[in-house]
Amino acid sequence: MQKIFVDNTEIPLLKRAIDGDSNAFGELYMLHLDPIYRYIYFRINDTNDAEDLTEQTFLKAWQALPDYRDIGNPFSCWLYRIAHNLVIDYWRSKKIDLIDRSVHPGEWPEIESNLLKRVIEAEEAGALARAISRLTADQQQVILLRFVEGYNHAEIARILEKSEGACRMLQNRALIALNQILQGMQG
Amino acid sequence: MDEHISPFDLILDRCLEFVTGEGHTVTDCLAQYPDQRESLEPLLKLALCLQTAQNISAPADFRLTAQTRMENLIAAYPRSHKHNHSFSGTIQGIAKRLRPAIPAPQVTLRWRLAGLAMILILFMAVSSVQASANSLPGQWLYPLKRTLENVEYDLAGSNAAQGNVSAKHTRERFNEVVGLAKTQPQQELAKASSNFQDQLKTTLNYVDSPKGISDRDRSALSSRVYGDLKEEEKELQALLHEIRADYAYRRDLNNLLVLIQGKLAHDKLWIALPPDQTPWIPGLSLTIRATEEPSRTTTRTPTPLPKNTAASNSVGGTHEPWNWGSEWPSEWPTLEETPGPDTQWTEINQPWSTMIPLPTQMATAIPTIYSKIETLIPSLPKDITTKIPSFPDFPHPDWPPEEP
Repeated sequence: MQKIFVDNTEIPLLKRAIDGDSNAFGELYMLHLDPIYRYIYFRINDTNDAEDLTEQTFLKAWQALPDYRDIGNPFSCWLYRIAHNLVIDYWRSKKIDLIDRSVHPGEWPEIESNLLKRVIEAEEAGALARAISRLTADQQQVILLRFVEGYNHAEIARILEKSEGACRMLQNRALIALNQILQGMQG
Repeated sequence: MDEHISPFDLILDRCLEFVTGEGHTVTDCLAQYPDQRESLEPLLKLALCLQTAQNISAPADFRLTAQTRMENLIAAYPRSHKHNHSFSGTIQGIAKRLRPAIPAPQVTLRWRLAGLAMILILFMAVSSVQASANSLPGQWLYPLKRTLENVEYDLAGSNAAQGNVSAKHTRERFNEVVGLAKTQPQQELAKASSNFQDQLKTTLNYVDSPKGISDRDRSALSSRVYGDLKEEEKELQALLHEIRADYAYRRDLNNLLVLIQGKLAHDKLWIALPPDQTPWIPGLSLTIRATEEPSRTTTRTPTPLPKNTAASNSVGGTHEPWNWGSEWPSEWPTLEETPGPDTQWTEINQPWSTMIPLPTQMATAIPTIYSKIETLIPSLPKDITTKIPSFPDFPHPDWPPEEP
């Protein structure tokens, strides 16, 4: 389950893509298509818009690749940053403030195990996406990167440019907030 | 931040690691923390639920065409610049990273329109300046022309430069008079003529005043003004001959001609002129332009000097001025009798000395005086004769006093 943070197989592809090899970039695209699509989909909760934003993410990556510098972070980290910025622009264009949609955790809630079971069993991805999309931007990122994509705290910290401790706290608060949202949706 | 993490957060984080990372079950984890069971259980199950979302992938139809569409997009939106491995490219990259918070300027339609408007305004301004160069008094661009001239005058660095700019503007004022004389009513012509006179006065101030101007610059300026005035005199005479206008109209132009001719007699202009342009030197011929009233021309008989006396002969017996003694002329020609701005002359071509009531002995003495000066002052330039003051200044106050 643990992700291989630095994939050595993509380094030659990356070098070729930087030099303008569109075929190499096509391979990178297919390698990272699903994670980036998921990342976007769970944050905007719209299939069509997620497809568009995914394409835009890779198009921007292709155009900006000459400026890409390997400073120890993986290529996927760079892609997530581009995708994150596009998601922020997406919500700005819809005049929705992500911060205001956050749910502040209160006391530890009692979770109805039936609800959770239904979510799991029915694979209500749409419901889950709707719930995730109501978290703050940071909470969304840490939830998706930690549990959906399987990155560890050190890797998330590098992507979000935060400390590991901050990421752990963010993860716990996000999990509690998501739990509350799911409860509210059920209610 | 680690020091502020609560015990529950530590337990939750550890359990999440066990469940999602190390493959333990939720039951195993809860068994280790029975006191936190109620709080931990839903969160751990939620984490496991989220892991199932990893199975969600892009829709199949999207995946099938994704690569082709991306290739089309890459072809439609090529990279704007090549990858730059140079040192400057690296520096630019570093600088770009150092200021990520500064948004890159976006060229929107509004900015493009503003830029277009600026270019149009600039184009119109340049066109107006060019058009104003040929404007005449009374036209709407004329104030702009005068303003630009004032700026040019103020920006001239030295007095000599300002004098030259003023001379240039004087010439421009005259051109305006000529332009208006052919097209405009008399009122504008009178105004243009007045402008010319004012500008000429300003220019002549630079010729007259030695302050801040070297002799060489002053000489050059005098030569320029004199040349301009000569040309203007010719043009004005041709204009008067060409146009058929009423009396008042001709009178304005005629007055201007008289003014120019009077200024041509300005001794400060002559002083700086080269010898071949000097208009009067005793013994040289001078051509004076024709006027309408030849009958006023008078050829005067030179006033005879008194005979030599013993007193004068006793000094040296020469006809040098300081030896004239009692022979000093009792009647000198007055200023009114010498040619001036208001005197009108017929066109004649005869030695200047025959036109001035110059004493015969003095006329013969003057060249002697010049040669004396040249002998006394070896360093004196050869064209000293051009720097002799005009006739009415005789006798010079610095000359030796008369013998008792």
